[in-house]
Amino acid sequence: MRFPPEITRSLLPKLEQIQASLDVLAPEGLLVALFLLLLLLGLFRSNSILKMLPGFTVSGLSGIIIFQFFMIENSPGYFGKMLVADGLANYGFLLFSAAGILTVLLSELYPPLKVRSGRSEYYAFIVLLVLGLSFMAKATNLLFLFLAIETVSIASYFLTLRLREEKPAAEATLKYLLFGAVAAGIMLYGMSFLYGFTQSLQFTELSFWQKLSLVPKPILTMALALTLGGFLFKLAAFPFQFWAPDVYQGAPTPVVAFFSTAPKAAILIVLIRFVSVLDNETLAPHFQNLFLILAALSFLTMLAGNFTALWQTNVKRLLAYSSVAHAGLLLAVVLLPAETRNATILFYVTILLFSNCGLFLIIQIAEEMTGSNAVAALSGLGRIFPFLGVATTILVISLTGLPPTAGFTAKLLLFTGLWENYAVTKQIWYLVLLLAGLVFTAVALFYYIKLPFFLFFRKTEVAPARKFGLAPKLLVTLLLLPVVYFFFRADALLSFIQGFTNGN
Amino acid sequence: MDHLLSLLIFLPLLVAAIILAVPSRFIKAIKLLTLGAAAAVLVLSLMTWFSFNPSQPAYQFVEKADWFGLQLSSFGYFQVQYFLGVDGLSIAMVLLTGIVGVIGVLSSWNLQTKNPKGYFALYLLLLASVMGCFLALDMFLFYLFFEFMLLPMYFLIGIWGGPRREYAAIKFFLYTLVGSLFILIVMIGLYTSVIDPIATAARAGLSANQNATQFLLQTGKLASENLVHTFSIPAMTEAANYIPGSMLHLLSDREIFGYPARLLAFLVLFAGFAIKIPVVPVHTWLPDAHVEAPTPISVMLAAVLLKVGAYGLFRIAFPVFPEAAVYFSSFIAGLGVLSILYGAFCALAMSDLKKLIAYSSVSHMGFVLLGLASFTTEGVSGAIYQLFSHGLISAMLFLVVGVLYDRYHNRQISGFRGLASALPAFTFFVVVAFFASLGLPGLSGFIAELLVLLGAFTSASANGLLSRWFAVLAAFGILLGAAYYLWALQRMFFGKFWIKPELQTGTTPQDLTAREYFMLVPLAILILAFGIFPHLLLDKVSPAAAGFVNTMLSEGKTNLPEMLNLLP
Repeated sequence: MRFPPEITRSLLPKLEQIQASLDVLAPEGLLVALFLLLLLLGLFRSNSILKMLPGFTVSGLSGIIIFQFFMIENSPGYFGKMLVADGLANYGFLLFSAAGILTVLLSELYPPLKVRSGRSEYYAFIVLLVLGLSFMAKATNLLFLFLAIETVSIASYFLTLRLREEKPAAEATLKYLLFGAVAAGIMLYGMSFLYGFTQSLQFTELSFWQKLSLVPKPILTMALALTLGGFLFKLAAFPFQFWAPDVYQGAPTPVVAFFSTAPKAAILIVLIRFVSVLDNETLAPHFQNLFLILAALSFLTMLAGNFTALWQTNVKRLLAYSSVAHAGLLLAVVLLPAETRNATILFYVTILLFSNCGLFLIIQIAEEMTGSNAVAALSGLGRIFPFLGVATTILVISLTGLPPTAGFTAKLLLFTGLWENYAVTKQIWYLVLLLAGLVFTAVALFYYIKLPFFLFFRKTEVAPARKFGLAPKLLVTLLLLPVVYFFFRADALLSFIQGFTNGN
Repeated sequence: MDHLLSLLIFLPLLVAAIILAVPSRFIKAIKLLTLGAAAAVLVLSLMTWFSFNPSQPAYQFVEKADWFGLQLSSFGYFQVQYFLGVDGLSIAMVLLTGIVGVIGVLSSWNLQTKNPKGYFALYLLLLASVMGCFLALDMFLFYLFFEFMLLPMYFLIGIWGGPRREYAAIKFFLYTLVGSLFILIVMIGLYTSVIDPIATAARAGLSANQNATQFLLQTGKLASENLVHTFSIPAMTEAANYIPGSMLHLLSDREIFGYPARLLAFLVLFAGFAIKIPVVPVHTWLPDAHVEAPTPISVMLAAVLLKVGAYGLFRIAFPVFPEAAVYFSSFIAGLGVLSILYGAFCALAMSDLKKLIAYSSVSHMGFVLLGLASFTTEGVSGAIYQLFSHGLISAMLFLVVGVLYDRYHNRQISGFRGLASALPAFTFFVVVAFFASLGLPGLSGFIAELLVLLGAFTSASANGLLSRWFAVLAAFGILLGAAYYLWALQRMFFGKFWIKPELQTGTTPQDLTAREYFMLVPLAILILAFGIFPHLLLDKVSPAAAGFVNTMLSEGKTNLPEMLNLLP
């Protein structure tokens, strides 16, 4: 069959472009293949295949990471400039896949998930989540971004509902779904304004923002705020942080470990793309409101997260609010100029990934031992299992941001960035956010220290039902290593990250 | 011995790791290992002490190696170094830590520990991090050790402490953390403003020497991405290393909330260290921590941990911001006098002997501030002398309280009477410790406080910074010290032997055991020796103190008007 020449002429370049884009898209393609394969394997009723699934998922994801790391170069824009594969997105991909692998490993050590039915879907949806996040980090088109965010949301709802027999899981999912739907609606509403103003969906292009700068300020601010609403929901930032504790409490612990880091990293990358207009000196004055909104939200998120965390008696809820607090700090970094911002955020999020996964692993081990998620249920466990207690202490020290852990280095970089920009720009918000970050570090210590407090200072009432096995011990050690190592050799991680971000 | 100072830090850490590997049923082996490590640290610190040459003003036994560096975009490169060294200011603290370290292990010997392995490992961790604080010359390293002290302390109080240990442990941790956050923010401000001239020259491809690089920097001829920011404390004390236009440059007209940035930075740093010393009104964590901590930990806390705060002022806050220190000298001396008087009045009112001693610590640490703020050689030498002597005396004081508590499980002053007739040897050491602390001539506390008062008194004529009233009021504090100690002695130890009926054990109380003699006798001898032969310490310290005072006064007094002129 032959096409008329005029069609060939107009179609060929597009086809060629799509073909070229496919190369860049290979990791995502592999993720889709893995997703389908996992669903397919689920059709077999064989126990041996069921047992293989986690190993299969982990090796699949690891293979894709290696492929991505060695084969994929930065690419300025592809698929009709819907996607971009810059350093942020490529590093993000590594991070999301690593989070996926860790989640699968954590799930393997979590007995409640070891039900027969639906296991292949569970792993498939983890892969789908990684895929959605990767698209979020790469999207440069509002519509595509929306699709990616919704993919992530759907996968998240499913994973939250994994333990559907339990009432909190159902409640959490429903809340999550309702909040999520409202936030998505708000975001779409805001995006439609932006599209109306600019007739374009390419939100990383300069012309998009140039056209926006002509829009009257109040309306523009409203449209931007509505769009930000959806992002803030995913980040669990003020005023959309209310879903986080319920979901954290109801969802299976390994899934929470994933939620607490990877989606936040993805949405931060989206936010970075969104606010990079502030790097542009001519346009920045028109978008001061965007800066102010984000600065104020950063402060309020820190405030809300830290002070609510103080009163929590459930470990998972406590960590939910503490991750809200971290989101607040990270929002402050979004406001820094590009060169410090990207590396700092990626460094912080990487350390957060290891610390959070480690801590949630310990929580699920404790949950298994005591059958409870109450902070008080940790009583005395540190005396019985000193390794568990010491590991928890190191991890909470890292989350608080004290030496000798990489959490301190992350905070040092963050505070340095804020201080330096205050010194250069004399913008008082930087100083305010820096001081808030410092003050809230002290508040954070107060709730984080509860964990070692109960682990070591209180005595246990009942002897734990289970032992602390070798496999979880190894995994905890594996997660502790980077947390400590990247304090003593922070340059190793930072230059690795800068290898990605400086390519832009 | 090229790595003498590293050994001082890493030997206890290594032994702590070994202890973790020893099964907990070998309690004896664990104790002996800890004692061996502490004794080795003492020997090493003695070696440092005796081979230290006081006539040489530079840092000695310096160990310097690059640790890691980070490239932060166009803002430059920042370099963290493993940088250790001692000078006349720190050598006394190193020796003190060595001595108290051994005493602490001895006093832990019979402690009813629930988990001896954890206790002794944490103890060695604490020892190593305190030592690290006194040896570090890189502020990042200092901060690392400073924060690292908190964790072992938190657990040592919280697990092995008294009835309200949980409250005391958290209060201690939070207070000191707030203090270290103050230090952190100034540290960030400092390292973003200060460069290492030699490393910068190497990076910028200049063969230039230090002075030429500093000149290029001050004239703005160095590109910002070539600058190597440093945490090195010696580099921070040189005004020529500050980047022009940076927040903490001397001639910067930067203000934060309407105050000159450098003055504010000094105050924030001072506040951070003041919490650790502690200075009234941020002292309230100390009595709680002391009362709840087990005896050996009280000893460590009073004798060396508090000194870290004061040492931070000597090493960092004052030399880095000399003009601000001069500017605030009256304020600091005022806080010192307030601590002396308030601590003494509180001690007078205490009914618990350990709390009395805790408040007397607050009072005596006030002398350090006063001596430091006088900016005279006598005052500064006296302040260091006071740090050392108070280290020995407070160790002894807390030990004697521990001895009493071991026998009766009570420390209430009102619970005892006429102990002298039942426990004569014990009473002898109590009397020595009390008299040393109240400043009896011939004992070390007297020399220290005399020097401080002399310094504070001559300050008015020597440099015109402090009013003579400070010295007068501080002298009144000594009087109060005599009052609370003598009163406690009279109530508890003299008269007819009597103890509260509910405390009576039925058996005749045992006087000091061999182990207790072993702890108390050396301390008593040291207190006496340093009281009669002050030159033992002053020979090592005074040259450094004189140098410290000279640079502080010359730089402070020239820089201050320049800085204040820039302000609107």
